[in-house]
Amino acid sequence: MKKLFLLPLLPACALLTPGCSQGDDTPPPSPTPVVDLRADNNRNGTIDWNDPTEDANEDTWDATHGAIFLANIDDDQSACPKTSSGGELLDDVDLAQCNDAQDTVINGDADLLDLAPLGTAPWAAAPDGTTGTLTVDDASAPYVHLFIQRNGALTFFDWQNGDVLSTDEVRAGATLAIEGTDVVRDPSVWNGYVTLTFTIDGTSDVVKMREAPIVTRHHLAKEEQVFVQAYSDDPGSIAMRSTLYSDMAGNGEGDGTTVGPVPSNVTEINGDADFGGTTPYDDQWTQDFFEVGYMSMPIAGGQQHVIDVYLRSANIYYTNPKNPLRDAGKVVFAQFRGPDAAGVQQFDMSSDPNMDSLNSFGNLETIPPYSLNGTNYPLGRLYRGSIPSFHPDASFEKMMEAQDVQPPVYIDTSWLVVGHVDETTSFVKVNSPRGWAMLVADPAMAKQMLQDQSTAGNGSTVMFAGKNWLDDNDVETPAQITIDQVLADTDVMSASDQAASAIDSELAILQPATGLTDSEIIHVPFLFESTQGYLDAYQPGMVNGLYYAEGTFAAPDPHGPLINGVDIFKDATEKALSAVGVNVVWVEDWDLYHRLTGEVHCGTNSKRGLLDGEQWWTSGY
Amino acid sequence: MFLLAATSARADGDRAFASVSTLDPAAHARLESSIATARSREPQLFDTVRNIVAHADDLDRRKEGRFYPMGALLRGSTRGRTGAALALLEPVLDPQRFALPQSSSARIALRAGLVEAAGATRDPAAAPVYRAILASGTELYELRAAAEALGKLAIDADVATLARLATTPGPKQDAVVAGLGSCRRVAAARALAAVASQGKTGMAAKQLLRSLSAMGSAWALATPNAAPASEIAAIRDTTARAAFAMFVSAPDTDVRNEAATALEVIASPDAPAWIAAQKSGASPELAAALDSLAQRLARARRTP
Repeated sequence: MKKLFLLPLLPACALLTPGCSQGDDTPPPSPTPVVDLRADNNRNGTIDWNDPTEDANEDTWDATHGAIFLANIDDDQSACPKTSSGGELLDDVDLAQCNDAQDTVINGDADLLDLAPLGTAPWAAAPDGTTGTLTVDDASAPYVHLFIQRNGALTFFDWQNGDVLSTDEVRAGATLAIEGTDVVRDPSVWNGYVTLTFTIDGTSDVVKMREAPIVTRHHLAKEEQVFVQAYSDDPGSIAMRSTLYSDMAGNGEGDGTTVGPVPSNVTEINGDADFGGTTPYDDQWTQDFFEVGYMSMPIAGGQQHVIDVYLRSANIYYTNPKNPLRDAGKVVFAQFRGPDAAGVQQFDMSSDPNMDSLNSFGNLETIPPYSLNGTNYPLGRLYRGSIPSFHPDASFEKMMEAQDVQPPVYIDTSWLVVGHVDETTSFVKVNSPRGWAMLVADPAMAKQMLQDQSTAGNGSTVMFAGKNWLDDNDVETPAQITIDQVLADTDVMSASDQAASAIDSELAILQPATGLTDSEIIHVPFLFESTQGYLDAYQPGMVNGLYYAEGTFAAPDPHGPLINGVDIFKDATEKALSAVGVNVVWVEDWDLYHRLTGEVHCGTNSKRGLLDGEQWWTSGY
Repeated sequence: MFLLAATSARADGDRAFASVSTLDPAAHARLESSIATARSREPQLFDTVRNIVAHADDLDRRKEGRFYPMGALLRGSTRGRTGAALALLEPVLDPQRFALPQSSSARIALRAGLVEAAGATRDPAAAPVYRAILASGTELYELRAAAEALGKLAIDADVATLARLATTPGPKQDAVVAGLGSCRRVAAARALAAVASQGKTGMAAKQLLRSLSAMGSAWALATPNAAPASEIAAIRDTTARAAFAMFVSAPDTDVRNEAATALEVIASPDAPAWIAAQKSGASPELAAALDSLAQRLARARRTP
């Protein structure tokens, strides 16, 4: 299955071979010992032997210098097994075990690109018998592999079992490479920084490198791929996809009953897919069971090599320690993992099941980049619902914090039935000095709008017209209700009042943390209701939408009251967003999503690109 | 989720259905008779409930988050129907007639949801069922829903019972406190205020504050028949004072933030004066928190 990668297939010898870097800058033979280990300290993607910036301060790492390597945990040959002999997807533990770093060979052309170059300068005059050692600090040793070019191929450099650079290798200079075998999960165990020490005859050269962190994407980055669950016969799934795809094609909302061509940038996850008699992907909450981040390192030409990282949610559904996780999350390994695409899961079986919903990725968003009071957040900030008494899986949270480049902002979402940040907030790109604005649910605005209509004599106008609560078995239970009935509903008013204040509490954290002014907040009107003491959107929560293209926000159709033929909630939202240059398209999500406490964002996902010039290593973190 | 003492009621989906073993046989018989009469008048209503019960497992499997919102579905599906409470409580009284859910979480959601939706009808005929659940129930959400339902009826004797259960440390206290926010009566407000003085911490404190805010909600109190008109001012004052006391004595930021949230919901016109008075002699940390609270309340957009 795996093969050694031969030297002639190297894409650029300049990356790895001493004396073969940019320009002819081969160091001259030296009569004194030459102990010089080089990595891509200056981050131009090459090993530069005569460029002093490649050597300067190479034993430290900061925003200005320091070499980078990747956790080589993708599957470049798509060789990882996915199913058992019975056709079922493998257990969670087994699925996650396989990736390109789990062996000590180079898995094809593409795999070589996932390794970071290292080299030792030649010491042509080295005496017979001279050898060199190359070692890794103790904390990093279990998490990196070193490779050395021998007999025309990169082979495993087993320094822990006595492998050394031979006299010939010392004389000629060695071509080496490094890969990480895992992402950073717990900084108290390993923080991702590696100290490499090259020694000859008691003289050493030290290079410090850092493993690329997982960076999550934000809404300023261009969307490349939209993901949505597809059930072939479910009217709710058909309605959602019909309207979304039609919107994406620029054809308006669609009829809600016919799914048009799947847009080229949409990946449908087949909710009906059968694996040995099981349907693990039967889970319409596409947002919740995976999140797409990336890790990257510089390569030649000012580019960067990117591995997408598909994070699996830490939702624990079962007690089987080999197979405890939310089934649909297997898609991370079974469908997405592949060339330059990695899967990562991290969970603690002892996590409190009562808090499990917080592990879904509707509760992991990224605040777009900004600066505040002299502190820059060029990659944005992680954004989650988490308080000491109600929080996501601690081991997952620790892993995300350990990436260290997107300092998190935590708010209290314990008042929500679902508990996700996407239920009350979202972000859109706007033409302003900040470049983005925040959408916020506003129950007070919704109540005032309804009161205004009641005062104007429209209190008998219905909302939710034509929608049903449950319409199976031909038992219709109409959801429609008049404006005055809603306003007189003590329970809805109480819940909405509490929601309004809880959202103000969120803002009391978010505004100081981001510097967002009131004018940078776009209010989205909808009410809340209570179930078992917790709150969720009473009307389709329009803030819970998908910012899927430059300037376009796909929101759930609110089915609000029609006054003079105009849905007042659609109208208010369209006007508020068009004022900042964002177009709203409406998606039908009532049956399969809203009735089950989720909306459009909960039912979709996206993979986004990098901003122009985005380089995590210059972030200062 | 409620943070409970070791002896407190817990979420429990093992049992098939609510316990009404303490329901008086005569009351049970009367309810059965009423159900039979209501079914003959509105068979479709009863079919709707039966249909939802039959779908409970599937709905639960497809939920997002910790609960399927069964109460909201049942409430919406039976809204405005005369026999709604009876239809909703039939599965509680006669579970053997229904195809009940198998999964633990679906059972929890259905049990609580049926009681919660029945409670929303404010039908006094259902009161004996709520009382029976309060007397013999042991499951957290079922007890919470029964307390909420009985609280909405606001019958004096029941309010007294709820107040006693809320203020008495024991297995039912947290569940009753969580449900008592819907009981907009002065006696209930005083009970929550008394609990507030018991030094609750963590999620139990936050849940208490949510009950205070639900009870004193300015928007809720502005709806028709939310509370006796003669008691509204006292309810607002009592709940606001309790929330403010918890703000001042809060052991941590989380509880203090929750108290600020509650004070914003209750919107007592006296809160600015309490803040100003409390600042005298306050620690720098508390004084800063009070300043923030004052600013927040001033910013809040509240139009009952």
